[in-house]
Amino acid sequence: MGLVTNGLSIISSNMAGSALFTKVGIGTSGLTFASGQTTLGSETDRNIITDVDLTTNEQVTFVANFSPVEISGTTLREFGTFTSGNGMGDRQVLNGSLVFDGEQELQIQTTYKFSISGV
Amino acid sequence: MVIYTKLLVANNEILDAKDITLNLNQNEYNTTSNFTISLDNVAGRHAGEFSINDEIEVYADTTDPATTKIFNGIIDDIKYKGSKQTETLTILGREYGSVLMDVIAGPRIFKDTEVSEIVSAVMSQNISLITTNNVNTTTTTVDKITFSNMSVYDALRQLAEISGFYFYVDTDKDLHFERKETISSGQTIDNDNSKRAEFITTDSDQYTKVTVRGKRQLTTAQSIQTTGTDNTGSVYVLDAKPSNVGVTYSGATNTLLQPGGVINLNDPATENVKFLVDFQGRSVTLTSGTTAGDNTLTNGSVVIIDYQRSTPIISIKQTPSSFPKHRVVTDLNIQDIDEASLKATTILNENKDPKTNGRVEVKGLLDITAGETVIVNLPNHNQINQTYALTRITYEFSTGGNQSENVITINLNRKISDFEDIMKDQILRLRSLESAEADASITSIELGNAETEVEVSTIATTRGIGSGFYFNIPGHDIFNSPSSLLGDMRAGSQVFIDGEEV
Repeated sequence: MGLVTNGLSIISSNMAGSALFTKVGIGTSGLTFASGQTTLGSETDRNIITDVDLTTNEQVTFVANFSPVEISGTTLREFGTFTSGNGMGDRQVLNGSLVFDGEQELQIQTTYKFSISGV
Repeated sequence: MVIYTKLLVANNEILDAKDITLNLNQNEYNTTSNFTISLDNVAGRHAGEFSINDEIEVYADTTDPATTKIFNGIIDDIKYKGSKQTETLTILGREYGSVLMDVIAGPRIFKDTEVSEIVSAVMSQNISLITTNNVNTTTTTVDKITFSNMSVYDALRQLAEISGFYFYVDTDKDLHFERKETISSGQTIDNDNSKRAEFITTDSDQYTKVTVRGKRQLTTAQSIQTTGTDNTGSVYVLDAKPSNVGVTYSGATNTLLQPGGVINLNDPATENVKFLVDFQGRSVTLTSGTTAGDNTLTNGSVVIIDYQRSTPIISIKQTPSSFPKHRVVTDLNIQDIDEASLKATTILNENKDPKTNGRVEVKGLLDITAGETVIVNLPNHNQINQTYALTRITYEFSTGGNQSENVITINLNRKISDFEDIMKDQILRLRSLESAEADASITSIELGNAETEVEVSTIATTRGIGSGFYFNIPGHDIFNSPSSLLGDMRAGSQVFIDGEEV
């Protein structure tokens, strides 16, 4: 028995349809990524996901936007995707940083792409 | 010719092994291959050197250094013995195939399946350490077979017996499931290369009639009898010994008669029992008594008796013989006549003839594998060009033995049951009894081995804000011009893809 490609599409569309992930959080910690992490290193803000893109098969993209006002003064080094129950699904650490001084807005896109291996 | 050996323990070569004994078995011996290695441990020189589950590899050749691997396995026991200058260390263990004996096969029922497919399915469901590249297709399709509470080894042994195959695990950790006596070693055992031989032919394990009893099955039956015509008095005789009896008066509206009782146990004079069941006598008696009242029927009245009869699952297979020997096997896991028949046939075929077992100490013959066949030509033992399978090869490597080629003892053809076999049989029967009450309809979900990979990628984009735009400035007031724009005049964005700025 094995998973078929259509199964991947079902998984990805259900990730979106069930609103599994609802928010994107940002933070200032450059703490190295580890798979056991459950929170950002130093979270400063969290915004709702405003767009879910399913146009490509077997993948789903979550989009969240941050306005210049709310991220002003932030030195962004990390962000992650969260469920409504505060469960973190992924964490990205920047190789560098983004400094926001009130003159920039921020958009974060996180894409989950599913594939089959070991068949 | 001198025999050279090399011993590796956990990839370290051990040069001072005194004796290395290897028993390479195919399944006739009811066990996997094993080893015993003795070392001098003078003043504790090997103390703490070996650990349980260390891998051992044994090489043997007639050239130095030995490069042919004849055994690999893992250490199960470490024994220290002696004192000071006479200390010895013995390590014992089994080949990798021993995992077949250590893992209990997940409960599973196979129907209408070819045996090698069952072997592969059992292996893939239970064991990942051993590959199945040499599981050969059989010509046997099993109607129905149940594995419950038995080791993978015992399941494979059962399948091997059904199909006339044998199995072993090679030094590459690959399972061989091959037809008996089809692979020749190309060797002949005769007076030139044998040092000592022993052959026994016996009928001690021979059976001419095999009865396999499975679990009894309850089936529903109904008896409709007219009082006075089909019975006498208030007693109604049935066709089979009844269980779960229900009695109904037949009429325009049927009337269920209850409660019932058991004959000689319940008394209608003092208890409210409307009918009594006589299991051994295959009958139901309508009662009449002080407490129970009169429940008998007048002649011509019809009574409907619903009950369940217990049908035995029995298969008997026999072969004509002037000296009959019988064997009865009870296996409560068997609930199907096909399965009982298969088991009876297999046992009979395996045991209908007298068994000949040979044991020969041979010189040379390093390059043989358990399961292969040899030709035996030892006229003094009444063995003239007989083809026998090698069921066990025992290597006893020692300094003196290696020098004189006094290393190998082979066992041939059939193993005659000994105490170990009887105990193994008892253990299997006990396990069978223990698991008999498990649901016969076993659902086993085979999990797929495909993995789903999830790849997460991210893009973080910043862009400066601004409300300015070009308008009514020469060169910047043309719509859709690649060089002269009308619109957003903000500076470029900053983009991080997967954490890296691009």
